[in-house]
Amino acid sequence: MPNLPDQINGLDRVIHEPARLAILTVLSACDEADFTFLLRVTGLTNGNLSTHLSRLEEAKLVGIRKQFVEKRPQTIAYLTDHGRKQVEEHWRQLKELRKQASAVQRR
Amino acid sequence: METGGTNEPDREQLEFVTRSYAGFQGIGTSLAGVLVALYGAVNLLWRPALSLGLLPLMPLLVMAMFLVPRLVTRFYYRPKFGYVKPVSPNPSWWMIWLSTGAFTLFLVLMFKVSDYLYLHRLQIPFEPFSLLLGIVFVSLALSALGKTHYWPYQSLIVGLMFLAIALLPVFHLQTKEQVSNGWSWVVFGTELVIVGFRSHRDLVRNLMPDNAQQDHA
Repeated sequence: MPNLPDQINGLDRVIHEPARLAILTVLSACDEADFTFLLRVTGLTNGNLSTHLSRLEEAKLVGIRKQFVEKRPQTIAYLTDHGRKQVEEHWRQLKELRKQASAVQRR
Repeated sequence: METGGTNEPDREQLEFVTRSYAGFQGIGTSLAGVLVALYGAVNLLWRPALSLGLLPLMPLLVMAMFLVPRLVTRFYYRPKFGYVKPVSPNPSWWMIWLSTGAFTLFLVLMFKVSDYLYLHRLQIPFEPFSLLLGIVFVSLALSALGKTHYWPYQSLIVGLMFLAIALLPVFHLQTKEQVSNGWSWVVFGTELVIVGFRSHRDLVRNLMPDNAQQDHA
């Protein structure tokens, strides 16, 4: 089993950034969510959220769809199949790391 | 939304808010509750309405209870708080069908009981509709004891209120008709109003303030 620092270094940096992990976690709990909900639930600004969503879309973790609802533009975000697996795996890794870190502390 | 001490987001909180988003949209429930309570109040205060027959309004009220929350969601929650499509298969539809079925069954049973009492001219002093509702709510509250983190006081209070109004005819304070056509609706409507506002308050507490004019809907 790799040691603790190696495991930390092995975490996916695209996912591990807190704002992006928050976005991915929200999207993992639903089929899709719009830009407004993501803003309200994460507390990010418009610009920050746009940037993070673009980064996640580039990494093929998130899909973006734009549509008009009652003549207003709506941006819908959803997790790709790859993204859903990656988020689950990331949380599993974090849980494992936490377990190991507390074991090291106890020694 | 971060956990204390680390910069890791609070997974449980984020997932809970997202999954419960539809349930948090309570203003529609409150408005439906106002309609229901008003219906009861009109029956109580405006007695001639009883002879004109407000009963045909009941199906409209039941429809309003389903339509008002949908309209509020469309015109208030979606632009202001956003849109979430729950994980498919959509469990909330199952809940809607289940609660609709339970509600219909309850109404059918109540009408059967009322018919039975009417046909057999049984002189039961209490009002059976409210008594049954009271028993249901108190049972729900007692069954939730110890299983949830909070004391289910709301169901208990409403249940006790239903039991109390069911007994009003016993003490000749109100007639059975006043209780079944008026007070039971007022109590039920008030309960809906409170539940709706509590849900909405929880939503506002769990989401960040609307700090910017959105370019996106």
